[in-house]
Amino acid sequence: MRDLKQSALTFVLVSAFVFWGGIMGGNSYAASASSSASATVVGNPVSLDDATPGLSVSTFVGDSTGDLLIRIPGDGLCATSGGTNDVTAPSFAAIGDESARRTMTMADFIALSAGNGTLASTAAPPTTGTTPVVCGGDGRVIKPSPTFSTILVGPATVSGPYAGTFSVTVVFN
Amino acid sequence: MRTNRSVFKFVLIAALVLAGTAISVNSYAATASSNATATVVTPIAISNTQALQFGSFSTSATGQTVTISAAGARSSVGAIVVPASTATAASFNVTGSGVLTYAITLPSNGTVTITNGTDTFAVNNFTSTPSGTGALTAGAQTLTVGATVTTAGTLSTGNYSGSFNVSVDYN
Repeated sequence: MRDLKQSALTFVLVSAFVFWGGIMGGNSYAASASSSASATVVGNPVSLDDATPGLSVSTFVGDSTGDLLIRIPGDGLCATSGGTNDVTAPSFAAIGDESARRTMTMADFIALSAGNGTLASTAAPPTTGTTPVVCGGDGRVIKPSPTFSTILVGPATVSGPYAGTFSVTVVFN
Repeated sequence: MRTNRSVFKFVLIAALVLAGTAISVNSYAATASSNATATVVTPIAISNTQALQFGSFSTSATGQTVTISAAGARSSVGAIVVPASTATAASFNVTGSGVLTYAITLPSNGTVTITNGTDTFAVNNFTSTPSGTGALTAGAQTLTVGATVTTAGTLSTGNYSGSFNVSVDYN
């Protein structure tokens, strides 16, 4: 009877050690590491609000072909060449996250026109490849950069008021 | 006196029989030898060397996704990513012994999120290269991990972060 108890006790002890050893042995080969995961959510650049002032050419007198060269540089001022003029450039308010870089892209251009005819655009305006614009400060106002469109006006252009529109789109880059 | 001699004879015979039995038992024993071997291997280990970065994107609806493949390529459905923002797969160094293979355990769906403290993204569909089973070469291998974030409506802008675990175990 005493031997039986001793055998049972031995069996239990051995079993426990084997089981514990199995657990420890299994754990000892596993390894794990942690990694961080991150993302940044920015606002959606769904549209641009055309802010004032819009592109305007209130007065212009051209005396030779190519006199007027309208540019809309990054500083929002217009450079001209030849003739006399009074030109202001538009600026745009971006809707979306202002910290994100965007590419300003001329998506469409409608020549300035009026009842007296069309103030012709010399060539298709750039549609891609403009320099990325980084919004600064409050970022709400961004201005196209560098040159957006060029309009050449010849001497035969009929004087009078002209009006038109053009649109600008922005995409993340 | 004669009785004593008989007793002595009996005891002597009995002793001889007993000795003979013992000797005969020993004569049936056999012995064989076996080798005992063991191989000590370097414990497998894993360390993170590159975080999983989804980069910047905008979202406007529930269920939009941004995915980083295990190769580090980013794709999106619905969400608009900022291409210039950094996107990387997570990278781990796995080290161990020789050319042993190991099992890779990635997080299950529904267990990992990233948050900005207010809103939360679910991070699911973890993938890895190698997938499932890795194989060490000269005791090392690079393990890369990608995953997909899924939006839950319009989320507040800002930085979101979280963490996840990857486990490896010798096969």
